[in-house]
Amino acid sequence: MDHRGRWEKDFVRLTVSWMDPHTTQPKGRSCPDCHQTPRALGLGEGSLHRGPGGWAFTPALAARPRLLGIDHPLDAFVDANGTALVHTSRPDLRPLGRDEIRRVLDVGLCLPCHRDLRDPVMRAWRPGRMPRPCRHAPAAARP
Amino acid sequence: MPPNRPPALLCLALMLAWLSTAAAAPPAGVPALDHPPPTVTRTTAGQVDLCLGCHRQDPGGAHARDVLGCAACHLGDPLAGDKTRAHRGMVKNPGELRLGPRTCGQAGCHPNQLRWVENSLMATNRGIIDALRTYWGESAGPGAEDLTVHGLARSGLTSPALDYFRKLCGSCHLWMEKGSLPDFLAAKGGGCTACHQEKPEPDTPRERAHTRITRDAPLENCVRCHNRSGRIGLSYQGLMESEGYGTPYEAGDLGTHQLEDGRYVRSMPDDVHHRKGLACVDCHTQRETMGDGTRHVHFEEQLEVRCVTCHAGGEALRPLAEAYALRKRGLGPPSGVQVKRAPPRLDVVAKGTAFFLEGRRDRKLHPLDPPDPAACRGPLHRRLSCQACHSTWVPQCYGCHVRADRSQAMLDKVAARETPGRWSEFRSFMRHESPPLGRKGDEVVILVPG
Repeated sequence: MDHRGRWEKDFVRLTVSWMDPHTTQPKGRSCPDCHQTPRALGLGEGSLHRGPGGWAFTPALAARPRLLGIDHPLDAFVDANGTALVHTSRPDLRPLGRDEIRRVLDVGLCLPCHRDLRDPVMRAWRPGRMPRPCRHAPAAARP
Repeated sequence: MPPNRPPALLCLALMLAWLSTAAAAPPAGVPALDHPPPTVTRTTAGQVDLCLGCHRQDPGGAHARDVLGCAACHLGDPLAGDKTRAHRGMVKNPGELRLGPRTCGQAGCHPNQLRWVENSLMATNRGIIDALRTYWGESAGPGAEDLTVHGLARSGLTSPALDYFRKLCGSCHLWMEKGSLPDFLAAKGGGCTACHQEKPEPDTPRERAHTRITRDAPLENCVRCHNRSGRIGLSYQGLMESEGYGTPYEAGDLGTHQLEDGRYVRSMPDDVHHRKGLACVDCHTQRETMGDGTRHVHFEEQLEVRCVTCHAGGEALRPLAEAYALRKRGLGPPSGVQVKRAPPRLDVVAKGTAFFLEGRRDRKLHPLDPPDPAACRGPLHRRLSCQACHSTWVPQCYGCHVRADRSQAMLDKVAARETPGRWSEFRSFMRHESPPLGRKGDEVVILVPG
């Protein structure tokens, strides 16, 4: 606002930082809270779907909110292709990348039956190497 | 001194004794004594401190009145027999950093600590200024500049980000003199006493009441400043700043859970360490908070305690426990000496093969649980920071924004005067659930807007 109280100019700059929230709980987050939750992966609110082409994400917020002057949903740090949408507070800090998001979400496909790390299937899982889907797996989980 | 002359102290004592029994009307040229000391008062070290004749206030502990007297901290003239001369040059708050070399940091007291603190992040605000300039695109990136609150006060340098800092952040630094700003801001600052001061015990008689000096700062001293930006001082206690509409309503009206600056808060699960009675100083060591004399730009550079420092499990904690056992016996380096690469000064106690953290304020033993072998130590989550899983909520303000209105003025906390440009903060689209994850180097960490 200028010296007469009228709008003069504005700018939008979205930055994310890293932090220790100081909200530590003895029991960690549930598996679905990371492996089935788009916000936890920096995608923002919305719907996830896995089809023949892999993972797709439909944001709940407007993809191009004209009122805000940005070309992505307000709560998105990264899009489903792993393209970062925000600035970060440190040079070595970034939102998750495409492959990282995919690997995290792949685990979520099996969580309805294999609920946590007490399950032998989950204990046998190796980073980045999804086990061969069993006959109960949803179609989306099958190659 | 020649042997046939009486000692100066004896002369002084005789003079004071004569003055104290003199007639009510003093001779011409001798100032009237409004509180003639009944006797020559001394500290336990034999130092004459006539202040003790009138003043009963007692900080207790290592700074007790009998040990130090009053003038060692509050200056003035401890040898003067009348109030006016005795109080000349006296200071109310010895902890102010500008007084440091003559008070807390004087030789024989805490000179090293003063040197560390003067250059620390809490005194310079170097990290806040650097972050703001980076976020607003005004600098080339983190650490590209070296701006301090002291430097801003001297130079008058400003920019949109610096003006924001001056108006909304500049009251939280240790060079800020306590009481120099209005309203709730008056409690901020104060140098050493910003952290190391506590209220007197509730049952202390009024005439003896004096703020206590503590090595282990209480939580409220930390939260007095650490309640904005990341809001960690609030989150730790299970408080989350709400969007400012006074919700959740109570009895059909605005809620009553407000901070002293008017912000509304709601209840959330507090940090387990808070629930167990631990304060900030139980984890955040001297080197982390007061600095180490080295110029750091951001806090993570001087961080020496991480979750695994205490929760490593097994014999990894033995060196910490051994170092603490030595300190308790008066061995090992004193608190005014920092040894490079020494284990952090955590009060870890070993009982056989079990390890505990001894609370610095409650002195209770808190068991240090090891991490879960499958979820924490297994290959699947090896890159996750502990916070990525164990912080189940974090304040996320997606729609928060600020406005600068140059038609109005606002108090510049660094210059301590009103200047054109009033900043308003607007909250919207605040969330707390499913903390978002990102990568810092090789580690998965929590990301938040702002």
